[in-house]
Amino acid sequence: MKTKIIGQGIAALSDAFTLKKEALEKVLAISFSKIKSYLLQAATASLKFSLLIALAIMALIFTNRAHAQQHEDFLLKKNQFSVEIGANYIKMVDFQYSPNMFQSLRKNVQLGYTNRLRKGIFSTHLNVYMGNLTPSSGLGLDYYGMDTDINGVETVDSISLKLSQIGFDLEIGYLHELKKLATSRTALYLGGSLEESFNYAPGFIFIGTINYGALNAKARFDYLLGNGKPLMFGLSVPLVSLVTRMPYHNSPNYPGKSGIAGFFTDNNHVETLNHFQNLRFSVKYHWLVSKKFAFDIAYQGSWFHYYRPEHLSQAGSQLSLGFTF
Amino acid sequence: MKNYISIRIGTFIMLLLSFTSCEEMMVGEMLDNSNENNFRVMWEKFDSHYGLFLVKDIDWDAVSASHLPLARAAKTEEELFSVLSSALSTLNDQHVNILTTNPSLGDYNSGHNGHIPAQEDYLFESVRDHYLIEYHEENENFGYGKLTEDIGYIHASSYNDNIAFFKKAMDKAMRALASTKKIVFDIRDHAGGSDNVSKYIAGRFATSKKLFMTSKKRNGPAHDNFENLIEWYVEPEGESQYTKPVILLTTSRTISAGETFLFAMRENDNVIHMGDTSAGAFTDAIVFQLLNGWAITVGVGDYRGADGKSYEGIGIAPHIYSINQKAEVLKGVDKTLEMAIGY
Repeated sequence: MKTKIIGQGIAALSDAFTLKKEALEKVLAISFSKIKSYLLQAATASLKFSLLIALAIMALIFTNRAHAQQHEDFLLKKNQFSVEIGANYIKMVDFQYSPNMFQSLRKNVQLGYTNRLRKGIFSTHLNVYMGNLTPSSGLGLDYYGMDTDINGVETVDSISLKLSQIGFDLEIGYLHELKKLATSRTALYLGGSLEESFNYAPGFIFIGTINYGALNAKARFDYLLGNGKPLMFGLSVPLVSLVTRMPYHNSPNYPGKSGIAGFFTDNNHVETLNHFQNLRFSVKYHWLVSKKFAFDIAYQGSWFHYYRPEHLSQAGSQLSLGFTF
Repeated sequence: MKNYISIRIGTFIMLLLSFTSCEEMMVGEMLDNSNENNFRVMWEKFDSHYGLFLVKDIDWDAVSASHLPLARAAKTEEELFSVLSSALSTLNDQHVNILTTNPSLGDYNSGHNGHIPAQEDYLFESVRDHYLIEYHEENENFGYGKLTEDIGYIHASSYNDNIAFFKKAMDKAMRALASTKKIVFDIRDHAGGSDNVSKYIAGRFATSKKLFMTSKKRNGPAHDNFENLIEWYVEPEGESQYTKPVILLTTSRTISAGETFLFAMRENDNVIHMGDTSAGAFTDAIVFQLLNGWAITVGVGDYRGADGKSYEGIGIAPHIYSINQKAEVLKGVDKTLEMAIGY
């Protein structure tokens, strides 16, 4: 995956800027084909209209307590499946590549399953995403080089650097209900999860590329609103993680081994919370349509930091829409 | 009571949503995009990652001492470009480049101390149009054919595709050229690519396993912080190996993975190296973006031949020298190729 830079100025990078994301793009394009622009607009709008959204949610809180029993029955369903699509606006700095901040509006699709046990909830989800990266400051990424041919004719070549990221999260976990702290309207859960996550920048510039397997501590607080609708708050923090980043020299190249194999086998570190942070806070709202079906709206805020070999920091806000059945 | 809880939840949600505009604050404060800071960032990246300070005996601190004041005084992009170019000229390294986002400035190459000039001693089009009796282009950077019924020809100008492509391409070439008495392998405009491809293709001409190169890369902030040495071997590869004579052609433009291929091929007993001394730039290089968006390329390794010597900035001299003149090349005459055909 990593190749030598060709020592010919602009031609050095032209073959390297190849974005290989056809497979994932096809899946997401099919999923998003009809409502993609709406979600992107919604995510961007949430930044501008967060106060309005907050007011709208507050209005929902004060509506009648209708269908309270139906919601309670829905929440207590043994098996639930969920499908969500969303947009995640992130800002990131990866000092292995640049001191500049980059931003991305990632599109994602998430599939989930929960199984309500007698004393808690087992859950698993798979989230896949992709998005372009652009400098937050608005810096252009068009690079220029002078080319001279054998007849002495000079031309200015240019190449536009297109950065993107693709990735996935796979998580499986268990939340134990603290029944002693429960009331008729609230429930508190504590537990953990195992997570595997991979974020990759296709092409030649591996900005933000990281893989980790983590043991997370998780908490969930459910609150049944006055109108009978449930609000679920979640918090996740990694306790111990196996983290893989590009090596210090950012150029894995080993005889007989592909770059990606070298990435996964040679640069792994076990880290605890003091060196690897991935704080995620979420709020989810079910809008019950029937006894067995609910629309979901969810918000997740995240902050991510890893220090090795150079600091990688990322913060994001994600808005998702979906349904649970 | 209900309203009290609802108000608390509502307030909490509003605070939560205000987070949506806080990403920049949580990611960290950015350096000011001044000319001085751009120089500092460039200097520090080389200081922490460049792999050839010791090989080239460069006092990088002295470069900072002499150029930082100039960067502070620079008022325009042109002046900054001049300061950065001057600093990087001390490295004399064809893998070190500045790529700007300004069309009037373009790029800078340290090894050429300016824009990369035109190649005047070779044109593949002349070979294809005047010397080849047949040619099969696998892609724009790789193809094979024949100069005569007995002399095969392979041209490679880059090893930038994945190795699976080259495995298939070499299988086709080997089958097509199996009956020839010798092959001319032309890498006179080879601009680099993957060392694993270099190793593989050289292995298609190998009869035994031999060390052809060692590499080590920076893994810490001191100029002598390197990871463990890696040994590279050429050994028989693929469904068949061509063990008849091979004439390998190079020029001063043969660079990077073209030169690691040269290292490997020269270990094969059936290979004669003809042409001009290669460029002398072997290591892998990484891309780093400065505060102003310009990109720099930084060589991170120390690559050496099987004899343990570094040929960075020197290149690999051929067994037989032959250099084409521009006037002949423009007329479609390739004297070096003619020498290889007659050898």
